[in-house]
Amino acid sequence: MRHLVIDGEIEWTDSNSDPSRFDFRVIRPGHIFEIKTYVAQKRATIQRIDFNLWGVARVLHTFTGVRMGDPRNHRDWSLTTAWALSMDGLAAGLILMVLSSVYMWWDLRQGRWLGLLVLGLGFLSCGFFVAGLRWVAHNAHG
Amino acid sequence: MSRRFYIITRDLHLYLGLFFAPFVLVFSFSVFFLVHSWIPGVGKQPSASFFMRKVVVLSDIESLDGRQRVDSVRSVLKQIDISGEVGFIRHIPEAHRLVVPVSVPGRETTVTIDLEAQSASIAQRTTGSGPSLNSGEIEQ
Repeated sequence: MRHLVIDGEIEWTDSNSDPSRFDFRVIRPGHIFEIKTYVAQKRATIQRIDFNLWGVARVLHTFTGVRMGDPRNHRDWSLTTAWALSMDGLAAGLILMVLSSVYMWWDLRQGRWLGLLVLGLGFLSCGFFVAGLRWVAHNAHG
Repeated sequence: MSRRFYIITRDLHLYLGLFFAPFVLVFSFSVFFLVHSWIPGVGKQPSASFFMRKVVVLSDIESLDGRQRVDSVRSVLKQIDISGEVGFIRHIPEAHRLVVPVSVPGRETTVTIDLEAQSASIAQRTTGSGPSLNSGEIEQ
């Protein structure tokens, strides 16, 4: 990759039955590089796919460097690790924001009952999407 | 006027915030698991089942496109009591078949409609609720 001046997260594609070929994919927000290497001929073909701004935004929603149920792929680009850790930081910040907000509301003392009712409705509707939707679909099957 | 606006904004902020607090918590906690691709229980073997049913399929379903095809497929899904989000419908013209993926959180169903035999084979896979929670689309 250094030789090809390509930087990004390596993703191993499906195994190739041809031993003279070595194929892989390099992903970075904005670009995907499909690299087909012909080892015997010391030659490589590179297909570069460019995304527009929406494509970059979409990739950033799923760009973690690892995939569920795929043990072959690990994070191997430092920027992917930085991105994943920043997602962790954002999530931790959101949890802190919610918990501190609930604490401050509780300390207000006024509007506790209405607040409890609204919070309860929030838990009910959220629970519906997390668990209830599955239960409804299961019961629809009989 | 500005005082009233302030009070309405403050109350809306408080109560809307309280209502959405559980959603934000679920979202935030799931981020840790999904970003690092580690979900307890997902490594276990998913359960799968397979069965066939007779269905009534519109004769012109093969010629339909887009939303019309999805609506026709929905009528078939209703006959076999399958509900959920319909993904990309694959048409295999030479075999006169439609392959329809249907998802709900925790279960993936693939319905293969045989248009000549007027039957549907249904393959179901239980995946647990984790992978579907933060995913708004179905990957093919």
